[in-house]
Amino acid sequence: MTPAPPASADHETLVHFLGRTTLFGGLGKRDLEHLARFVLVRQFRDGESIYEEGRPGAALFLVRTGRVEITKRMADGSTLAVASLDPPASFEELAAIGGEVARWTSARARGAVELLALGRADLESLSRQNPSAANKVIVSLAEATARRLHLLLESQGT
Amino acid sequence: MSSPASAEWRIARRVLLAAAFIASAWVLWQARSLLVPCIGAAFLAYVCVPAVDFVERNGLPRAAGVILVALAGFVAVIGVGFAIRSAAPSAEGVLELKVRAIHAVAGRYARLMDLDETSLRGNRLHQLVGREADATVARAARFLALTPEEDRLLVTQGSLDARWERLRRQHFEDEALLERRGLRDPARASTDSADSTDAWAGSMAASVAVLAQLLPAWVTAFFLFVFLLADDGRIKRDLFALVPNRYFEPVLSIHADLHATLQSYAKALFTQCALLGFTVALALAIAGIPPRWALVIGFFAGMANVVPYAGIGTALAGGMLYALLGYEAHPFMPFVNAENLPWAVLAAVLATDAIKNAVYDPLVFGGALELHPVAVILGVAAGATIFGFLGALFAVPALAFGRALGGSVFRQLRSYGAI
Repeated sequence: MTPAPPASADHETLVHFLGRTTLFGGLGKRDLEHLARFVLVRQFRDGESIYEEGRPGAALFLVRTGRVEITKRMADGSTLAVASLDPPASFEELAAIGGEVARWTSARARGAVELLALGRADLESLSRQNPSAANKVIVSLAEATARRLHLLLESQGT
Repeated sequence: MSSPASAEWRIARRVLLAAAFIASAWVLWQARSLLVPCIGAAFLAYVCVPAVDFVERNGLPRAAGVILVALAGFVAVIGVGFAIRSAAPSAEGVLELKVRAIHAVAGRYARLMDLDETSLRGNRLHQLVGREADATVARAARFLALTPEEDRLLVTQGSLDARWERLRRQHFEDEALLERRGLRDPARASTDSADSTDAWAGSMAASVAVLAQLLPAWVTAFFLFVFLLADDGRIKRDLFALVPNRYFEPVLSIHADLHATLQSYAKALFTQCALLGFTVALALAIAGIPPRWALVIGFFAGMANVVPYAGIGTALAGGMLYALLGYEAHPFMPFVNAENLPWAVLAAVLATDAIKNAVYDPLVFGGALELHPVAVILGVAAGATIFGFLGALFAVPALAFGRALGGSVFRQLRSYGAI
């Protein structure tokens, strides 16, 4: 049997991985294949900054390998670890659906990390080209955002 | 504090960057004949990508979508070619057109200057600018002069046909009138005839040479077009792989800004061309040009509108040509007749231009093209001078793209703290 070319193999793995995530798990194989064209693969070294608090967000991220630490700068100058994310977690969903909102946390790679990034414009392209798939994604994004808000409120004891 | 070695390295890096920039600019300049068709192909591919996506979304492979879109484009080009060919007049049609044109030029000039029968005296206007105007009319007459073949055709064509008889009489009268006024150069036709074979061979050779020069560029552009249409996002992924992590999100935002600018520009341009073509056809039909011809002129004006101001220019040239050639008028308004049809056409085109400026431009383009008119005119002139017709065609999208790129780079780098 002829082996598949490496690019197709990567693409297949990417499709498989996207299907395992909470955000895109509800999509069919064809929709996932379509979505896989939009995502960009990013590699980060240990300790490298993924994004900084206060800067605008342009993409949501999915952790494919490694661990990502989310931190928040406190008023007294100290840094609070908010969350530690492992595959196949997603973060910064608001950046993909929101407007020009400044990020309220920072993210840093712990060990070698591979992320998948999906830009806001890519999500808009997806909604034009494949409205039903985009609708499912947006519902998942809204759910994820609501869950985070709920966790935040719980952590503050309200 | 930085060490002297790192300072030297910084200077060396800047020099290298400047050298690389100059070398890139030089390569681009050398390859400019290839560059413009390739930019055109890229823009066309960008416009056609949604069609390929649509085909793919409906279950066909992307390659099938590319083939279908390329075939549709090919059929459209062939169709337009046939339409132009069928609209183009035959040898008899060209002859009739020339005879009518000479008659219109001679007659309208005589009326404008109020020339007497001797054609030597005219009104104040003739006294004022007669010499220059005579020279212009003489040039027009030379341009419209019949070739010996056309002369023979005029004599033999429809010898018993009243229409041709009228045209023959009209032509001989006009020729006599022009010659009497010294506005006719009889040597012209015979010179043309003697050299016509050589001139034809020369022009064919020149055309073949131009075609041979252009062919590699157009073949390259076609393959680039197909390659970009077939791309499933790999080009973007590969380009983004080159971007360092700290610049990833700013570059993603810049890419989104440019995508939005180009997309809205392409949509707005298509809408404006369609609206302008329809308005020109309607206005010319109301002015008195038969609806069939008004539609033809409107179609070409809409197509020409991809170059700024060329749409209105085409409408004016086409309408005036029809009106001045003395064809009959089909006015909706009772006061318009064949005599004042050129004024009605001028008014119709000016009204169309006003509608375009006051309604279509702000409504259709809105924020898609925030360019000053002077910048547009200078950009089109510079594009046409450096790159010819294609330079004029792509001057405005290039300006819009450059403006969006500059603004977006500055805005994004500042908001991400890179500058």
